Amino acid sequence: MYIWKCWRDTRSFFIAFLVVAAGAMPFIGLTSRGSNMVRDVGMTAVSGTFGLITMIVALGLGAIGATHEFAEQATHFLFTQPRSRQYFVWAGWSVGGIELAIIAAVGLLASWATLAVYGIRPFSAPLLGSIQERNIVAMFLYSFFVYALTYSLTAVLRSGLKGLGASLGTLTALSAFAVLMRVRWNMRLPTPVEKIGGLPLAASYVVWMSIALLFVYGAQVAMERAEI
Amino acid sequence: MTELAIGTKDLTKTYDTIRAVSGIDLNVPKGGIYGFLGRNGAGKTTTIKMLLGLARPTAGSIQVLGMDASSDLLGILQRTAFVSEKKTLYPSLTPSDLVRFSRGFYPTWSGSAVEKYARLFEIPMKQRFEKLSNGNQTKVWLLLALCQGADLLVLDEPTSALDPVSLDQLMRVLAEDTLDRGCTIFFSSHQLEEVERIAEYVGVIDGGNLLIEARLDDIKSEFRLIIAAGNSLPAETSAQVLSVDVQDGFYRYVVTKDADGFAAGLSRSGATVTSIAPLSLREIFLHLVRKEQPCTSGNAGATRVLSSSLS
Amino acid sequence: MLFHVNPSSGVPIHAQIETQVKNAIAAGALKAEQALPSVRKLAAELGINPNTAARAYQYLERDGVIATIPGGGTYVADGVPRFLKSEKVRRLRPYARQIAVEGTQLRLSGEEILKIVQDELSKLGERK
Repeated sequence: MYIWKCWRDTRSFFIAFLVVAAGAMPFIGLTSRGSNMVRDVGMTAVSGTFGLITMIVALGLGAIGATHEFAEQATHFLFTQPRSRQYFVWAGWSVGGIELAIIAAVGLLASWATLAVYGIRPFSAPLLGSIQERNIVAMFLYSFFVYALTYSLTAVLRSGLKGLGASLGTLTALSAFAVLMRVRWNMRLPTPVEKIGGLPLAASYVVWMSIALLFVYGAQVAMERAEI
Repeated sequence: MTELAIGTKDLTKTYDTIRAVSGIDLNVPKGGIYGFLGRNGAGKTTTIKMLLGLARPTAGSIQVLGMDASSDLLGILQRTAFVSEKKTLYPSLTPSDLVRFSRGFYPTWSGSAVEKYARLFEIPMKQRFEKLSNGNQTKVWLLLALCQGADLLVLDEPTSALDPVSLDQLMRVLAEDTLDRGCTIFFSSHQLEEVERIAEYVGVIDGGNLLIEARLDDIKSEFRLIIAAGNSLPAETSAQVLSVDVQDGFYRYVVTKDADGFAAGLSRSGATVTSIAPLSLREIFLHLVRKEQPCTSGNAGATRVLSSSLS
Repeated sequence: MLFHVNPSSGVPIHAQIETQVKNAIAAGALKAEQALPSVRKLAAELGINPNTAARAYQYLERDGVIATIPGGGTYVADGVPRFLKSEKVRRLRPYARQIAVEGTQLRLSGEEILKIVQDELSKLGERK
């Protein structure tokens, strides 16, 4: 029942961006028919649209989902239902996470189909073989990271707007800080979801995803300790 | 001692320097209807929040339906229905949506009760919550609470936005519910006439202190207003005398017990006792809380009148 | 409906019901062995807590004014309450004390008070 409600809250946003994800590459393909654009820069277009869409969806779902649960002056109702606050935080987060994954998958499928029409087989090599493919994976994980961060901040700050701002602010600050470290002290600080120090890439990804989950855990603790 | 649906021991809640609730011992017998009375800001809502786990006590213990609120909150929430003082809910959901949302949590949910009460209270089930009037919003909360099949209903100001017809309906529904399902009802309200109708027990809270907790019938049998004319009659309050008002040689005493004895004493001192009258709940309430002087220590001026065991 | 209660009157609701039942019987409006409404029905009609109605019936039954048949209904008792003389005296005394106190506050003489009581008894006798 709660899952159903979370779905209801994010439904419009989800469907809108599902359409966008499904239509972005085909649209580009159609409008550039007759030229060689798709063949030449097709993969770049894929990366570009994929990155942009997943980023927007991550921010959007993070802000919207958590707002509907925790910022709508209904926590005195929600938290008196017989489920733990832990359940509410994670269930809500999972719904958005799944929606994000679906949009990403649909976007990739549409891209693949579009490129295939033009004779390019982008995913022919083993997964993570080409740079573009690794890029796609990184972008997805990054969007997942951003989603977890935005959701958690929105829940804790009880406001979609504040959560959004805080999330973007954090990401910007992290990047700025990393640049500062590099310029001043010549230290390479990894930003999400870059490779960490001497760890292999996959392990780095695991670390970044764990940090993402820690954000959600933090939101859980905040909700458990909150007085309504 | 009867079984308690709610029992608190020395329950305290402090916000920074303000003691919203000061060491109260609530005793709400099972299967009864208990009216929790107090002025705004007296600590009613804070107390209720602590019962439901929305706020954490600073000190003291809470037992609800035999379960400890600090260790078994989910068990309590499973069998307790709640109506909040703030009647807000998800703005974009309709009452039908909210019913669908709620029923998944409660195996004892009754669909027939939904139909019955939706019809009785005339709730527009397909209108978005944000578009509902205050009265209808309150009714939605009541609907969701009444259909859970709960053993305990904790209702914070369920009557505030209701028109007289709905108010009457609600009181009857609550009375029937206790009879049919043996559930306990703990509710706060400013509609003292309605409380008088159906409450068996009342507790009055003021300035965070529980001034009195007893059977309503007992309070009504014992409290009396005595009017006497005379000179230099006793004018102090005590455990027996809740308040004394002197005007133009007439003394008005609100007495908490043994009114006849007190009146006889006055007569013996030469006074003319012109009336020994019973008091309505409203009058009793006003006399009780007027005694409570707002004070930073929270205790001076309060009279804990009766702590009769509710058995 | 025979009964009406005023919840704000200061007299406990159950006591009001008991008084009204006794008055109705004394006035002949309720006859011996006549059925009374069930607790649920009485509570619903008066808009009160069923436990209060039950309490009224409980006390009336304890006083021998009404009787409940298990599984059946509630009826006006068919005879005189079965009490010992001493018990009857004990029960009436609080009311007598009330009359005495009231009369004294009103500065009525003992004779005047007794006359009023006599009048009331006569009126009751006439109605029967």
